[in-house]
Amino acid sequence: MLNCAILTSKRVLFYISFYRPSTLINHLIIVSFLFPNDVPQVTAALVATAHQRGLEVLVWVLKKESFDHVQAWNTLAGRGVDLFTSDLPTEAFEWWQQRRELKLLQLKLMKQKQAQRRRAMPAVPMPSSSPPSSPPLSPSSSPSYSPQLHNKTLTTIQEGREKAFDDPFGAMTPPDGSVVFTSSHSTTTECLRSCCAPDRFRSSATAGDLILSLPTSPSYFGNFNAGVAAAAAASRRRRATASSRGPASSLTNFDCGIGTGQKLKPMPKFRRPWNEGSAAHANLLVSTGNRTSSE
Amino acid sequence: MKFFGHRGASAREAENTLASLSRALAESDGAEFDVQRTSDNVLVVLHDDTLARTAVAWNNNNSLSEAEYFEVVNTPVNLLSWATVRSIRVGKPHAPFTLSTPQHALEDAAESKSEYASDILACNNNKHTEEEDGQLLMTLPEALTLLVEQHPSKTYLVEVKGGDLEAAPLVARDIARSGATPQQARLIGFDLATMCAVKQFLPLYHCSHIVHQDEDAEATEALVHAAADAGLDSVDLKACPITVTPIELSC
Repeated sequence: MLNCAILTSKRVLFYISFYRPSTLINHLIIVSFLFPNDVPQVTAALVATAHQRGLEVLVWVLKKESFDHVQAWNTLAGRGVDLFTSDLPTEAFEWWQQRRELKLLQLKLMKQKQAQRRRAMPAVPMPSSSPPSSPPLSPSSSPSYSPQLHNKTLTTIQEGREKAFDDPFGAMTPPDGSVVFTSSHSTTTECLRSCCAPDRFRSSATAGDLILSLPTSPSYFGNFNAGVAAAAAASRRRRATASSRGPASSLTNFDCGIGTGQKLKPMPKFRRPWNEGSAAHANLLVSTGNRTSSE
Repeated sequence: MKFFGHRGASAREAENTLASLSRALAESDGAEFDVQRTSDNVLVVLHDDTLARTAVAWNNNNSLSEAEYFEVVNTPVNLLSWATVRSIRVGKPHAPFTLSTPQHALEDAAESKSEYASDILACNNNKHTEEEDGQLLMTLPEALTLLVEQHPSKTYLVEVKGGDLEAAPLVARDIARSGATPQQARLIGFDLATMCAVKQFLPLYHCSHIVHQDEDAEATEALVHAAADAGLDSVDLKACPITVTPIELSC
């Protein structure tokens, strides 16, 4: 009779061999296998705890000879680990390359979908270098704006005079049309272009714009929303000032600040540009003076 | 999940060397390496406190005697000048043997065909003067130049050795001079106080606390919370991430 048993730990094997020797039979086939739930150290729960506290999780292995292999990398990737430090054995390059190619393929597919979506939408002129006397930025004033053509990622809710946009960063976009999204980062630009209402997207800033630069990685979405609210408040203050003193004449650049969302401070200047693929920054242009939309 | 080379590509190249870092930058998302401070405040890319484990030779032009050489490689790096450290060439680690292992023990090991011992004996017999023996150590600015100029889309994990608070401003100085962005250079370290100091000097750069994982999950979680409370950006878990358990199939 074929008797086959799968033992999940040495403890069980010891128990059976000691107390139930009859259950052990002729030969054992030992298969090296991973048991993610057995004496765990980097658990999914631990990774989740760290992520909840705003921390990334990096892992490197103490016993590298035993744990630096494809199965371990796949397991850790599945548990949400952000970064793994390997000695890069020979199989590492192939594994890394495969994952990279897969990621590039996913990105390509996403871009194709976005392009298809854009083609489906009517052409909307980009008011990229519009003079201060350009038309207001509110969606309702744009003759080619057609909410029906937006897909699920862009929902326009009209309740009386209020409009809200379900943009990828949350639903706190002020309804008065005073905030316009733009970005100098290509990935973010693509995201904004495809997900924001065309009226709310502009490729560059012009004089009189207040810019709030906000991190847009997923973990910072909360801050982004808070930043939008701060931008709206700043916009209202500016408009009040502008109405009495005339329109603002120069760009103002702020960084919303990670962690607070409300704290405005001068944006640091770096000697080198931010890298592609890094945590992106999206700029919120808050139109001021006579470029603002009517409320 | 980002995939980084530990001490460069240390499985295939001598750790923390130009060859190792170059390979890691070419074949993964980035490279991790360690920095030690010399007596004249130069940050050198090196893991151990001394050169004993990795030294294989000295430079041709160096006038060190054999006795001086052994003294240098067994002296803590923070007591040596950069010029002295630079005179030593490093290669693949000799563990479990070191250059201070007695000759007769090495010979015994060589007879038993130990890989490392025969390497050391070969170096000893050549008096470590061959150019191809080992590589020169790098400074942190040299390593950063390699990244910024040749692999700008990749990232370094720079490990600041624990307890050396004086290294914090030096790390900040070298990174600022190199022009490496926060996406190109991230800092890690075992000592929470040191990492907090680094974070103060480089507030926009990602700083991580390396945590020795405990069997007690709550203890590990407490360390995670401590890192968050200290204002750091990540935890680096030094751990056995998974347990390899054999499946016994009895048929």
